[in-house]
Amino acid sequence: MAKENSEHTTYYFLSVTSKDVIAEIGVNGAPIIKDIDGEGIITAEPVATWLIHGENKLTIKLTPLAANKNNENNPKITIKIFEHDPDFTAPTPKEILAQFEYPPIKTEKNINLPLAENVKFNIIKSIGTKLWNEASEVKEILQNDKQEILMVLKSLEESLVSKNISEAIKLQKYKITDDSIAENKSIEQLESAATKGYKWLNEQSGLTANKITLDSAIFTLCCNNKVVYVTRKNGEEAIQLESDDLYFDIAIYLSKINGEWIIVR
Amino acid sequence: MAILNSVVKNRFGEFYKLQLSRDTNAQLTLKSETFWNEASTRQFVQNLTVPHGYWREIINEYSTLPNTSVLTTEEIERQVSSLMVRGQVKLYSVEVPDIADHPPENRVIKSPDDIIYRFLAASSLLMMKNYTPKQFRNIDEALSFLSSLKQNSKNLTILANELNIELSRSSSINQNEIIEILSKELTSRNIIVIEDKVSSPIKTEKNQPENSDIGNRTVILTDNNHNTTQNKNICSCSVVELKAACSHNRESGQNNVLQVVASTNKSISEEYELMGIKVTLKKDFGGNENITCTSSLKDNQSSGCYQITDKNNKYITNNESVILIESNDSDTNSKWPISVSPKKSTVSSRGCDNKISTVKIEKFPNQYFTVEANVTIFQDWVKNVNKAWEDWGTKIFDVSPIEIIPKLTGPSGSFSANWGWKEDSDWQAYYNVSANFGLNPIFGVEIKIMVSMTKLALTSAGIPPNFAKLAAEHLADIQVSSTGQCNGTLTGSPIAKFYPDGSKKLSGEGKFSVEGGVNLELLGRVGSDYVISAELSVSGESKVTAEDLLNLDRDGIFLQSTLMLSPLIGLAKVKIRYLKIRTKTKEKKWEPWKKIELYKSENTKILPKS
Repeated sequence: MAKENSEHTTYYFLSVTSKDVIAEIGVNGAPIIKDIDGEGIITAEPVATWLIHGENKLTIKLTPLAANKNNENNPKITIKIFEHDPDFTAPTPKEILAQFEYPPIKTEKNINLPLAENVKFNIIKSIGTKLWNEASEVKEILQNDKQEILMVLKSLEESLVSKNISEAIKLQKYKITDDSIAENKSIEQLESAATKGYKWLNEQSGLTANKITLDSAIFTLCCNNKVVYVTRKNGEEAIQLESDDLYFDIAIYLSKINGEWIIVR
Repeated sequence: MAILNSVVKNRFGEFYKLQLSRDTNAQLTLKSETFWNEASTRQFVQNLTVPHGYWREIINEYSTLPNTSVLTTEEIERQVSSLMVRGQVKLYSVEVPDIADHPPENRVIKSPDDIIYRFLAASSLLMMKNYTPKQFRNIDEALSFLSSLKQNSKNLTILANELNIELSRSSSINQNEIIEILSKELTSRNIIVIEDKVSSPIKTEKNQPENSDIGNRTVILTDNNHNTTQNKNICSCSVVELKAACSHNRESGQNNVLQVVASTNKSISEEYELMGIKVTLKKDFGGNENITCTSSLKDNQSSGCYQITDKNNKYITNNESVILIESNDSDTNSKWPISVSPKKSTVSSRGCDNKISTVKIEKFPNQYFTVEANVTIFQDWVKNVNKAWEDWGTKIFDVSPIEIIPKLTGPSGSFSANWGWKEDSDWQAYYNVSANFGLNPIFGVEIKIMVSMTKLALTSAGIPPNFAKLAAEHLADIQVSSTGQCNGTLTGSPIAKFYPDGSKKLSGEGKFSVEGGVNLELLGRVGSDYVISAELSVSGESKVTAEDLLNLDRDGIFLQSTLMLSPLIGLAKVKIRYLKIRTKTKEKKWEPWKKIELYKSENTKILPKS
């Protein structure tokens, strides 16, 4: 069923291959792929729900690693945002929409780290997700907003630890809905998949939450001030659970829709 | 008196042994010169070149003749002529050049019981004392003697040639036939054989040879400015230097050897096979070279003292001998003539002391080979390296070769080589092997493998430790993409010089290098309900490294390459819907393969024909 849907769906991916550089790569200012210790990553993340029709920005923040006495750092990163080729089951570029490479292959000037770079690109196909039409533009995150956001996060934390899966799904309903639109799937299909994942989570031994507090949280406005990205001060995701041997993270992006803070991505 | 027993020479270059009536040569059957009348005999005497006072001493031997001190030169010549006509002074024609032109060792045979026998023309005995020729009463005795020497036909042929005994021109003349011919000559006393006590080092002090003996010649020279003193006129010059020089201005060196390779003057192309591929081989050959051997004497009294062997190994009176080195296609048919023995010539020189100096000329084959090959001769490398990658994929990921998509490039570039004997700047020759590799790449191989994590769990690669707890639907939608690639280049111009003494010199360098590695990605299946994405953090890089062995030795050019793949150690994360899972400890890393020998080629012979 998923494959049938995928034949009619345009998938977009953000791929990053990096080494020896602290990287925060996103779309329209929303951090999506992060390597906070600079060990290096190879990944491809679906980003269809982050795109808007028209001009978009690939946002790049690179920070050099501290000098290492034993090993000479050789920072490098290749970033691509592309439309997936449906002939392949793994993320494969059909059309590269934007890309960035460090160190640059061709350059007439030295580019040194750290750097913050935006690479513009256009999406000409229509985007069906609701968020960009429904989210309010927030000029400033007030203390009251932070407390409200934190309440939402605590609810999600609590539902996951207490094995209240339906509550956890309910708290992420908007996100699931937009995903179902982007992936051309039914909401039920995705809720079922998420439920299976959370059931599996609940089977893990010694599950607890590393609770986020107002003091440890950072609130970042992005996506034309329509999204707030919440992280911890150490760069880790806002929702963090742990079992005896695993960590479980949920990246949290909220928007204010109809005056209410809702998890949207 | 020694002077009276000397050999005299006339102005025509003919030598005569003078013998007084009191001297006998009963053991010889030689006939002396016959003189019929005094007028012609006096003319004969006047043509002889003798030291001042020589004839006076001859006359003084005969007491019945007047005191020579009152005689004029004309009267003395008349008296000598009269003695010759009456047979009181006999002259025997001896062919000194015949004796001198031949190295004495060629006429010496050592018997199985270590007795050294010297064979000589019968006239030689006139000039020797204390030597009694071996007597043969009949041909059977001579046959028995010669047979007992146990000499092969080659040695016997040399002996016969040295004694100017004509053998059959047939090349098939055998040992017995030569012995028979020599026996007849011995029996008829045309040649003699003596037990050579002189040649024995132990006995040389007891038996000082006559000055005119072979190897102890003296040249008697006329000297009108002195009355007598044969001691002053006896020359004992010796060779101080004998050197050989080729037409490329190289001279003999260590051990007085000159190794030569004649310049070529012809060229042909022929088909040749390298590593199973037919290529065109150019062969340069032909051409001759003159080697000039020059002797220097010390204390020589005339240019007539110089003795040097010519191209026929016969002594000539000269200080220079030119040896023509001729190329011959039959020298070798080998396309890799490194082991062909040089053809050796020896030039000998001596002065009046008859001490022999030699210079050796060693002629090496002058076939030189050049090949400019189509680089397809290296195509097997591409196939083999690709096969190695496929084997790796099969072993690690349990995929069949048909699931692997290869991308092959190369070989491209150029390759040429040349080899053969060359002359070094000094006296030596060497076997040169030069190659020019410009193979970039010699191979280029890339393979891609895509397997699901579920399948990977059953292979030697295994799955990341933290994935072991995932549900089946999660594992099934995580894909592993592996790209292995490597490019090999072979460049450089190695040169090897192999010398006949076994030494070698290497210069230049052939460099085989490989770049490549494996990129591994964990990917969520596009369209999966369960898996959003996967992420792999890799420690270091999984690189392909090469251990190459490009070897030039006497057997050819060999290349053996080993490709090693370093391990990949990664830390995996996966984002399922809606949860990102990572390990708590970074120690739980995933190492799908250890360091592995990806490919080891055979020690492939590039040159010569394998």
